[in-house]
Amino acid sequence: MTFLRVIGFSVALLLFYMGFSHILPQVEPDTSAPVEVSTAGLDMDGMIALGESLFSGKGTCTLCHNGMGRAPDTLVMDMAATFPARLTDARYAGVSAGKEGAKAIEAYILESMEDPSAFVVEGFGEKGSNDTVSPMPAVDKAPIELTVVEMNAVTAFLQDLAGLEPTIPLPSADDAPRVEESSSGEAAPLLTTGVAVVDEHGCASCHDLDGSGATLGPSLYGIGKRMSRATVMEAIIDPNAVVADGYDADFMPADFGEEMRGSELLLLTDYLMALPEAAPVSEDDDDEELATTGLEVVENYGCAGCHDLDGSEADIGPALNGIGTRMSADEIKEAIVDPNAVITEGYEADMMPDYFGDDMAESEIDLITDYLLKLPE
Amino acid sequence: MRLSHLLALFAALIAVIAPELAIAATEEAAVVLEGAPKPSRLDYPLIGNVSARTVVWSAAQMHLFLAAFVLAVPLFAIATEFMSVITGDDRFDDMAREFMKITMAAYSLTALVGGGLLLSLLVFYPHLMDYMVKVFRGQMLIYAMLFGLESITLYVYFYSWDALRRGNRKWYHMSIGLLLNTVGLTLMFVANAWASFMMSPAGVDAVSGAVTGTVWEATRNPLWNPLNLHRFLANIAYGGAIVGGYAAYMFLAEKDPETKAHYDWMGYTANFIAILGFLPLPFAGYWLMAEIYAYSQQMGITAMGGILAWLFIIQAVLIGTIMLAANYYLWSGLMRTDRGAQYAKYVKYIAVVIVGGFLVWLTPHTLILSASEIQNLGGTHHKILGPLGIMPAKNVAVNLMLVMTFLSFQMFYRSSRIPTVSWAKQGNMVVVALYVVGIVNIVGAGIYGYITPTVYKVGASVPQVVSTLTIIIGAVIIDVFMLRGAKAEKVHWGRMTERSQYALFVLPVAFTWLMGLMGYIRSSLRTNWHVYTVMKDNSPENYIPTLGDAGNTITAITLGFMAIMVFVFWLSRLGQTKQKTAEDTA
Repeated sequence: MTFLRVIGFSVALLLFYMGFSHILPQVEPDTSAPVEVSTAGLDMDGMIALGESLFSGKGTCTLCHNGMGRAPDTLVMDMAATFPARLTDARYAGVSAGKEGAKAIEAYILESMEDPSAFVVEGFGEKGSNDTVSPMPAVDKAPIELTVVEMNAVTAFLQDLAGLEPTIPLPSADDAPRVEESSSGEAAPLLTTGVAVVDEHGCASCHDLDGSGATLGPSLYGIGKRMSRATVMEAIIDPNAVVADGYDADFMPADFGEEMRGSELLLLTDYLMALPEAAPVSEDDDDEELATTGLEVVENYGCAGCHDLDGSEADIGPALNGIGTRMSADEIKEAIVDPNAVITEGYEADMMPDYFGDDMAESEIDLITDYLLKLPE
Repeated sequence: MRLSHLLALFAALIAVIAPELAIAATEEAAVVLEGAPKPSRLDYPLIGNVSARTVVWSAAQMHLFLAAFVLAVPLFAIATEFMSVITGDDRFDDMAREFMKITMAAYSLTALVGGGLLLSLLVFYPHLMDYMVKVFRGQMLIYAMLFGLESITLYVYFYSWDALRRGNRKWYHMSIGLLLNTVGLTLMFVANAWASFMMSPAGVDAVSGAVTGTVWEATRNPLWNPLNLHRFLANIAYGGAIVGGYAAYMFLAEKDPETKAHYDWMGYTANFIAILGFLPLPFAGYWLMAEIYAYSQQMGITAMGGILAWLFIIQAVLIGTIMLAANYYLWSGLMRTDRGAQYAKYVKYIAVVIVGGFLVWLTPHTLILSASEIQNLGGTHHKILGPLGIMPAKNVAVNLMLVMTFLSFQMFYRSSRIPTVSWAKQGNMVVVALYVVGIVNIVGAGIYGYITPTVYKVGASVPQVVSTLTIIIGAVIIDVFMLRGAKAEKVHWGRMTERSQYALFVLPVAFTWLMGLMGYIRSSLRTNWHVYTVMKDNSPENYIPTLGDAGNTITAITLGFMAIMVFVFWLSRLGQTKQKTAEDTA
């Protein structure tokens, strides 16, 4: 009995420790494979967005540049006044010493990342170094290893933060591992906002986004609270890696990782991470402006997210090209209002939302029907 | 033993004392400037659904538990053997021998698990092992030779116990014990060099990882010595804790009052040694963390303010339970002496400080909150409890807990001795003044920590540590002189409650889990690097597991270790069991 009591006591203690480790916040790890991020075609807004993301992400800058006193609190300080003051500081003898202007500040920022000891802000040097040696690691070396484009992006972000026009060069084709082209052979226009990426790829067709109320995929509101940034990115690139409870695998297209540029993936991820926990209360539908063309209706309701429309090459629903040769106007209208009435061979029922009839104005149904009837083969 | 064996052993010793001599022959090999391997994710061998990291993690942690035990017990044994010579009390000698016998069974298991660890590393992480062999070259062979020498000295030390027990022969025996511990510690230092090299590589090119320096340079990396000290002290505490657990079990299991008294005394002595090793451990931890910050501020912040910060809340719970259990045991011990009751009235005050310190230590600084919680709280930090989450408060808490634990010891020690020196009253006043001034200094330095920049907060902890050590050392010195020739009161060994013995089980269980947790933290600090900044870990499991997952693994390994220990203790008792003869039965 003594033996059992002792073992029972010890095991109970162990289970207490184990249980305690479970009640603390669990920081979900990034288990995804490394993603090759293309920066091709990134414009300055994209570079600033990338820089902001790197500042708190891969660059790990906010580990020290915060309000804890380890390093200047860059995000809070008045950088518009600080940068010029640094360049004229008597202790600064770096590449931009005595110079002025945005280009000189660009050189100063880049120098401070590659050689942090070139100038150490008073009070932030290593102990005993009299502010001549910085404790900051060179960000282009391990373990941070920012690339030249990434350091330029951080510089653009900091210049923008200081109210300056960023002066860094935009990424060239040499910087990009691959160049994405549309099926017509022309480069697709670069998307520079998360909303544009959502629209382009029709995310709201399946997910409740922008008030779409779609339920084919899980709602993305509050996703930033539920998932890490890396997991959201992984879910876009490899949707079957993690499938939300109540939803099926192999439903979401698995080619977004190939379709999107790296910068677009970043923008989309940041957009989703910043979504509020619940959909904003929509204004009275009567106040919304109605679409005036068939194409507007297609864009507003994200039809291209599931159907091959406007070069989307989506294949969740049947292709609509040349539909006017196969169906009459009334049949098309019925298919929009009651999608389960007739199911095209090879496709399943209950896939297409059945609320378009309620959501669309009659004029919009006429416009889209007319638009679809005229689509070429 | 053949002459060639002796020469091999001599070469191994030379290598330890002057490694630059031993590696001279391999200098040329160091010229090969081949960088560290860069395996891709597909280069890591996969065997079914086996988690490579969990296999290596379990083998490494189990090997460390066992190795810590078989290194700690000889340290414990030589200390108690020395006590037997100094005091002339044979109980110390018997206890040391009893534990060396248990070590013999655990030793072969340590080697077995060590072999398993090596095999799993070679199977699952061949590129890493290839690189480590290139960096440490002949040192790995020296390690194997030292293991042989450890085995020889261990066997000689144990089997010569009775032959070299009395008179001058005892000193020969202790010399063998000293050699055994020297070899054992050297083994640990060599293994520490490999582990610390993976955290703070030296002797290699900072960019490519190419081997550019000597083995000694790689060994003497920035974190080697802090890790050596930390593990050395932890081993002493660990050895004491396990012996204490064994003694507590025997105390509960035995019925004979004399035997119970023996194991009560053994439990007290083991607890004393465990706490003796434990008291300076936080300071060794500070040094290790300070060196980590000095080596890489990023690594330091990852540990203390980043993804791993929550682990230190678990650490606080573990150390808190160790402190409470050790103190509870000491307070219970006051009933062994007739004068103990007059000290018992102070226990409640000590308990308040220890529990208060425990609560402060486990108060987190940053809370992960939802937006509505932040709104309700009025910010990300609690207005009253938030300030208790940062280092100045925790430094005050841990130092006061250590001072109070020492006071508990001192109370029991004094309860069986009445000073007879004429200056006893003045001596007591000096001791009280030591405590008062020291505690005021600890609290004052803590307050200073709030009004100074973060970088100086660590500096503010130095006067606190000095105050704690001054109280302890000063009080010990005064007691040594003041209690010389003191009137000794009888200590009723065995006059303890059964409940108090469970406090002695808390120590080994908590220590073992704590060691597993700290191993997880130390390895996680490298994030996704095999060798920090030099060789990337691109394996599918290169991420830091969640606290819960780590907790599960650590618990499973600890349970495995406990099962092994039960087996080892059972083996030891089996060896003492004799089958009754027909005459006995009659």
